[in-house]
Amino acid sequence: MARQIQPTESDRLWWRKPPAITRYGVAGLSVATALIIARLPQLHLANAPVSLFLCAIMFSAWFGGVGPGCVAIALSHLGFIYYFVAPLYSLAVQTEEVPRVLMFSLSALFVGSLSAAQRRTTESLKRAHDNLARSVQELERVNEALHAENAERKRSEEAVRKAQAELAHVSRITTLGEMAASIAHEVDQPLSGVVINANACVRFLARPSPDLGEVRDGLHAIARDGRRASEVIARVRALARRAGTDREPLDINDVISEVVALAEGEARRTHARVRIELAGTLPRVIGDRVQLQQVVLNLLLNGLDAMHEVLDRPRELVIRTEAEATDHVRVAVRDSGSGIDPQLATRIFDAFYTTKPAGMGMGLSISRSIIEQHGGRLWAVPNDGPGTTFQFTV
Amino acid sequence: MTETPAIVFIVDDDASVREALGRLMRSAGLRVEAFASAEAFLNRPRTDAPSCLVLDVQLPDLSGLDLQRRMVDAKNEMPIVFITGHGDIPTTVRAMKAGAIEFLTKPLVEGDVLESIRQAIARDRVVRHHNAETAYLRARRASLTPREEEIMEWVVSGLLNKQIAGELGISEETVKVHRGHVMRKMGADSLADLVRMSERLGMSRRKHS
Repeated sequence: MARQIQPTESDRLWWRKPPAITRYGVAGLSVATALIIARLPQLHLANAPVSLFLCAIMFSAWFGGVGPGCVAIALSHLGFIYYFVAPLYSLAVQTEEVPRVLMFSLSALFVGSLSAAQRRTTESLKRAHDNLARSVQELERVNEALHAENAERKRSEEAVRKAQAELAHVSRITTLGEMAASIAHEVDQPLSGVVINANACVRFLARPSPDLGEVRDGLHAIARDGRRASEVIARVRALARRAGTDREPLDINDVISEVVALAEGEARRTHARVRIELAGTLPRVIGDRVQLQQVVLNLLLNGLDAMHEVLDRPRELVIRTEAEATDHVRVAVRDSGSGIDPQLATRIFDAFYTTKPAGMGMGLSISRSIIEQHGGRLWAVPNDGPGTTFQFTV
Repeated sequence: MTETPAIVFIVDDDASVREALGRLMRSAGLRVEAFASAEAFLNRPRTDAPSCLVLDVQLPDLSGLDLQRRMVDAKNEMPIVFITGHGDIPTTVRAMKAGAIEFLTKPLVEGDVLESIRQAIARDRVVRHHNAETAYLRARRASLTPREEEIMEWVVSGLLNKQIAGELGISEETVKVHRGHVMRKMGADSLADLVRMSERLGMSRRKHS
C-alpha cells in the first residue's frame, strides 16, 4: 500500500505566495510602521531609524519577494531622507550627509537582497521538497502497478500451469483407456487365482478327511492374489488422479517400478520383455510423482509400439537409471524397435505429431513440457544397433 | 485292470493362475506338474502316463500356439486344453484345427475346467491304448515269415484254403498249417478278428485271379 506524502494544510497556506496587492501593501505598511515607530517621541528612537527601516525592508523582501523589497527600499529612502537627513522635511541631502545616506542605501540593498534570496532559497527548497514528494508518489504508483502486473503474470503462469496439468491429466486418462484391456487382464489374473483357489479349498474341505495343509496354502494364495489385484487398481487410481502440481522428494526408481508393474500386461500383449536396470543409490529428485510416472509410461508405451513390427529379433525394452552430476538423475528408455526416421526426428516432440494410426500426438509433447517444468531435459538418440533411446534428466 | 495315474501339465506364466489351477487339479485327485514357460515344459522328458496339457495361449517368448505346433511336429499327441483371457476367434480356430480339445475363456469355471481335463485325459487314454495295441500287432506281424504274411494277406482277402493253394501252387494241407501258424502268432480268435487286425495294420488285400 503506497503511503501518500503530501504537505500539510498549514504548510501550504504559509508557503503559498500571497497576491501581489497584499505583498506590495505589506511592503508599504511595513515602511510606514517603521517610520511611525521611529518618529514616536515616547520611544526615543529618532536617532536610530536605520535599523527600523532595515527591519521593514527585510520583512517586505522576505514576505513579498524582490518587487515589494525594492518598493520598501525606495519608500524607506524617501522616509529616511525626508525625516532624518538634514535638511529635515525635505528630499534634498546636505553634502556632509551623503555618506550616511549611501551607507543606508547599501545596507538597505544588502538586507533586501539577502532577504529576497532567503525567500527564493526557501521557495526553491519547498519546490524541491514538493517535487520530491510528487516523485515519491509517482514511484509508489509505478511500484503498485508493477506489483499488480507481477500478480497478473503470476496468475497467468498459474493458469498456464493448471491448463498444462489438465491436459496432462486428460492425456493420462486417455492412455489408461488405451491400456484398459491389458489392465483388466492384470486384474483378472489374480481374481481368477482367487476364485479357483477358493473352489479348490472347498473341494479339499469336502473330502472325507479334509486336507487342511492344502486349504491353508490356498487361503494364503487367496490373500496374496487379492492384494495383487487391489495393487493394480491402486496404481491405476494413482495415475488417474487429477493433481499434477505437488512437488515432493522422490526416489525415481520407485516411480519407474510402479509404472513397469502397470505396463506389464501391455508388454505381455505385445510379446515384449521389459528389463529394468536401476542404479543402487540415486539422489532424490524433487518432482510430481504422477507426472513423472506419466512421462515414464509414455516412453515405455512408445517403446513397445516401436517394436510392434519387429519379428526377427527379441523385442526388448530396457529402462535404466543413473546419477547425473551430483544431484540429478538420468533415465534412459531404450527400445529395439524400428527407429525414427532422421528427417522426422525434430518433429516427434511437436504437439499433434504422430506416426500411430490411433495416436493423438500429445504424448511426447506433454512429456517434454512436464520434464521442462521439472527443470530437466528430454531428448531422443538413435541406438548403435536397431531402435531408439529416449532419455530425460530431472 | 488298474489305470495308470494321469498327469496334468500346466503351462502358464502367471504364478497366481498356475498355482491355483494346480491346487484345483490336486483337489480333484489329479497329479500336477506346472511350468512357467513353454520351454520349461518342452525340456521335460515325455511321459508314458495318460496326460493332458492345460496351456495359456498368451505366453511370452514361445506362445501357446507355437508350443502346440512344436508338439504336433514332434508327433506328441497329448491333448491340449487352452486357456485364454480374451478368446479371439482366429486364435481359437487355429488352435482347434491343430487339435486342441477345449478352449476355456476367463473367468474360469471350476466345473468346466475339471470336465475338460477329464475328457482330455480320457481321450489320451484311448489314444494311448489304441497306439499300444497297434504297436503290439506290429510286433506280432513282424514275427511272421514272408510266406505266412503272404498267406495272411490271402486269407483276409476272403479266399478259401483251396483257392490259396491254387494261387501259390502248394498243397491245401500246407496252407492249413501256415494258416494255423498265422492265427496263433497274431493271437487272433477268429477270421473276423484277423481281418480287423489286418485293417488296423493297413495290410494290402490280394485279388483272386
